[in-house]
Amino acid sequence: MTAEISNIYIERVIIHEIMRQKVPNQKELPRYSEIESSIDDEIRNFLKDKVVKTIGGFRSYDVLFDDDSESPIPGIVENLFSFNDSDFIEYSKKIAGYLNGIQSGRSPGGLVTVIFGNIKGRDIIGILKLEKQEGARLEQTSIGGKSTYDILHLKDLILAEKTKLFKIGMFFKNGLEDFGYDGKVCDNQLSNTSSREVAEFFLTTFLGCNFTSEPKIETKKFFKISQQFFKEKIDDPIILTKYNLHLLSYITNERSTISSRQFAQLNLHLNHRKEYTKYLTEKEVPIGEIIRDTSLIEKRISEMILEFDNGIKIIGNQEGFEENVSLKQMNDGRTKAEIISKLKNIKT
Amino acid sequence: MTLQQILEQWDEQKPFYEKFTKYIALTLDEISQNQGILVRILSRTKDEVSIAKNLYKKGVTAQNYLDMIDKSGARVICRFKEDTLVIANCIRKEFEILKEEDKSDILELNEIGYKSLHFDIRLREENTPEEIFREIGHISGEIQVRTLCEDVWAEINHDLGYKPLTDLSPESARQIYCLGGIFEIADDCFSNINRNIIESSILDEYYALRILESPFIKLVKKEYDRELSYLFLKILLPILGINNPSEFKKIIQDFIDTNNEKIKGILIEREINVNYFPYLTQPELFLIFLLIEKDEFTLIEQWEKKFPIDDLEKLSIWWGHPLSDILYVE
Repeated sequence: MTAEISNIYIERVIIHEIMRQKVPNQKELPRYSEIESSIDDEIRNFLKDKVVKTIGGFRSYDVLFDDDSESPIPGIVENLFSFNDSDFIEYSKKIAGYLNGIQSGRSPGGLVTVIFGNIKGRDIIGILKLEKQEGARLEQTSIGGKSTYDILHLKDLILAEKTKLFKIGMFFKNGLEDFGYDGKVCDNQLSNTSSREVAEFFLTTFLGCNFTSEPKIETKKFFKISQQFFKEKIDDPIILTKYNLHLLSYITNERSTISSRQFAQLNLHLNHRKEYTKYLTEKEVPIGEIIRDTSLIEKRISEMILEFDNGIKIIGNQEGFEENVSLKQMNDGRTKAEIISKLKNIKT
Repeated sequence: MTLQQILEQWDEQKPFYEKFTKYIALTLDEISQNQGILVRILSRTKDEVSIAKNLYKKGVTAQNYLDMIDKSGARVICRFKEDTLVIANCIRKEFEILKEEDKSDILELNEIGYKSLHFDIRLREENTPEEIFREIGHISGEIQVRTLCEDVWAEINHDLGYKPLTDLSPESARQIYCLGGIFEIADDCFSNINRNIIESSILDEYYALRILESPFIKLVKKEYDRELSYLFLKILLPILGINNPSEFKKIIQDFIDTNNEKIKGILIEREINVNYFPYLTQPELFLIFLLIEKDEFTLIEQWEKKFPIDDLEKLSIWWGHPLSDILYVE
């Protein structure tokens, strides 16, 4: 489905404004649009590009509706797939109203945009949340006596450099039956450890979804298959060691998401990148981002062992290797290892 | 009939001829684009003065007016001799041919002169929308097909006003014949060069462009900047990692065949971006899309040396394979 998202055709867009809830127990109501925003080809392409870049890219996650969730969104989405004209507006208001109601005072106000469209005839519903800057006021316009938001507000907000927060959930009609997931979610806060909790609020509390896969299993798979690739395909012991160290460094880094494409781009030689990502794809490691959860490989990533033909082993953590161990390839095929440190202990 | 009466009749008929001229020009344009051949099409409907002057030359009679087949005319000017043959075949299929004449057939082996393919045509009912055929199906006109060299020779010769050539002084006649010979040789040379590129055993930018050009004309139907193409191809071509021209041809053809609808969709959708996004009107666009799928890492590495990386991101999004996650990693 990911590749087909480039065929998305956006038919209808409606924008509502949700408020920052400054006073506890005194909810400020959202400002609803009574009619849809009008879209021309330019804005249609603009929105499409944003959707393809996020949902169709490698930073989105497959999600399933959680049957036990209290969120009304799964039900609304289901209803929207069999909507009639007036329902679209009403249901979109319910979506915005729900988010407005559950937001805490910590969450800034913003725009909730609901999109209806299709991908090669398959209906899709998109729910976008864009946070606006504190104090920025968005003016509603009136068409035929009905209030609405100019779509340019949305464009400006997306383009504004300071708007780093963009969240989108996209759901496909009969997605579960055909692809094994109900939709895809992209949230740039997910790759930020400190914002993880906020991101999960959008995914679980608001959208009522869960990831289709277990991050800890995918993280382990990524780690093990990467090591397997190095072992099978990299002959040069120096490069092999370097790659393993990079892998350890990458996976133990504080980032909250990992990705084989990014790892390749950052750490592998150009001639290995394509083969590496292909190998991982063949071994069913997700090609896009994975939520980093190292709980199943904690022990493995805490140390690295270099084992030589003559039975000598060097054991250390990734940092120690990077700082104190240097390897050199000799002409006869052997590898020279040099450890610079103070001898602390000898065990027999 | 007097000239006045003839011209009054022409005044009534002219709007239909104008429609006819426009229709055949559009059809010829479509025909050549569908063949992936770059041509220049000229067309015109005779004006009153031209009708009158023609009748003065031939005699002001109703029959001469009726016999004047080129009241509506179009000319297809091709780059290469071999292209004229392809276009001629298409004309035979598309239109009803009332008369066909290859002017070079009239020339003796040792004679140089006007060379062009002439067709007197009418619309073919089965190839024409019903409404249009009802309106202009009875009209006939003339189509000329020639190469650029033949056109230059014919135009200059026409402007010099020597007709027939035998009326020339021996010295001028010799010069005209010499020029005719030069243009004929030039046509042959251009064809040979074209053939050498197409049959090349080396995969270079010239060959690649000739392969990319044909589907580009079919799909994009626009002129492009060759210098920019060579600049792009110099960088993009090595990424494919192949040296064999026929392998390149096959890869490109397979890619375009498989993705024809997708490419068409992108071109239609992004029509509004054409003026400020040059890639859309360049044949190497197909190669960029292919490389986004085939070797994104090397493409990024090479691209950022010469071109704006944001452009590649945009193209990758349009292609539905966003590179955003690896374009800006730190």
